[in-house]
Amino acid sequence: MDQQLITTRLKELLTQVLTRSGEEPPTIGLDSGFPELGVNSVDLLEFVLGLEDGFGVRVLDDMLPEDLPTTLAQWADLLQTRIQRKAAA
Amino acid sequence: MIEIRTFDGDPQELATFCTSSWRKRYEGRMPVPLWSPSFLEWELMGEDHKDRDYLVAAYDKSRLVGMLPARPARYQLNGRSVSGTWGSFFGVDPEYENEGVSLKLNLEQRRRHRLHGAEVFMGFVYFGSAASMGKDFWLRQRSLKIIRKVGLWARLIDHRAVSDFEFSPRDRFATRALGWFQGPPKAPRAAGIRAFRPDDLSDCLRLAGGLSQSAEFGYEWNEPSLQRRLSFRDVTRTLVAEVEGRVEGFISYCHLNLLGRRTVTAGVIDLLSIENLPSAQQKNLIRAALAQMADEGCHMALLLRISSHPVWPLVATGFIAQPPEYYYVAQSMGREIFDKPVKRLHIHWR
Repeated sequence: MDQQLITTRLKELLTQVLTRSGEEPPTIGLDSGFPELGVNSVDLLEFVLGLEDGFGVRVLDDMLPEDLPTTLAQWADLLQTRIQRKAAA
Repeated sequence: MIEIRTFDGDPQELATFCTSSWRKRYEGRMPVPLWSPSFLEWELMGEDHKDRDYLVAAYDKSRLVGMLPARPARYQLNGRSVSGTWGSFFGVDPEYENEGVSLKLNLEQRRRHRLHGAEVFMGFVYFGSAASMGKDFWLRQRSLKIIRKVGLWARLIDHRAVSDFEFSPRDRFATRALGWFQGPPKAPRAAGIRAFRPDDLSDCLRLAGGLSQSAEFGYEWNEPSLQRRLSFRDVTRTLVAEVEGRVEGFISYCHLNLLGRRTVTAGVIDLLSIENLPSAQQKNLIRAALAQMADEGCHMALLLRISSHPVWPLVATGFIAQPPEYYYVAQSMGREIFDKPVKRLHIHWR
């Protein structure tokens, strides 16, 4: 899948998560840190569940805490790898 | 920069952190347990404090900012022995809410489970208050399974104090009104009930084994684990009941302070084995424990409401069933071990 498309969909998903209680959407850059965007643990889980559903991959099952991405760009890279791994399997 | 590593502090630091992080979030909005150092030492640390594999903590340099501690436990699930853990003392400093600390702690806890071959992480998720944030985090996890909704049995000892503790006007009134009909517990005039002694352990192990075997899922006991549960410094209190000179029942409880509109002390009954006792002696054992709690300054007694506890002796001694407010949950590591519903549990509440 095209990296640009992944990034766009992830940005939409994060915007959706951060505005689900009616808040104003923050400006989300590819390299904006999740802490600075105000992404709390519940938002983060919601985001991960959304991307797992949207892209048909599981990312949390074997993830290590030090590998948890903290920007959209890092999430897009991780997702690209997982999608490729799934396609190759 | 958040670092996830093994907790390196003492029970005092553990209690201060767990209690303060909960107080910052929930004080004045829902009941908050006030964990004491000795209580958490009993529940979470081994004899020499070296067994810390599952005491997972988050640090910002040297500052403790999150804890997801668990204890190793052996369970039996429909007769199969299962290696696992349990824990209910999860806390994150609200200042670090946006640092992904909760998820990182859980990912590290899962890694350690896989490393040690532990199949499941058990715990409780409180849903009795809209303020509770734990449910929003835990129930979103795909790897988490709700085993059962559970509630508590409560026997009020000081109705006025518990009424002042309650948040809702309805509960305050109901509690006070109950006191018009229900007096404080009185010690029974019964022979054969006394404090636990070390030489009672083998009889208690036989009885605890019976509780475990009658459940579909529950703890597997051995002498060291039961000894620690029944007798740990001044934290636990255990009474036994004899029939013809042999221990045929026991009740074990600990004290836990709870902060609501005021602080009350609960006598939390963790283990209750009365099935082998005659009906009158079942009630006598419970009454003796309640009277002892009253003497020790407890304002109420609490007991997990699960089917392995007989209903009628509890009702007869003044316990009232509370509505379910907790999910008993399991996070399986890898293969889901709960492949069919489990009704009968042998566990304790935290």
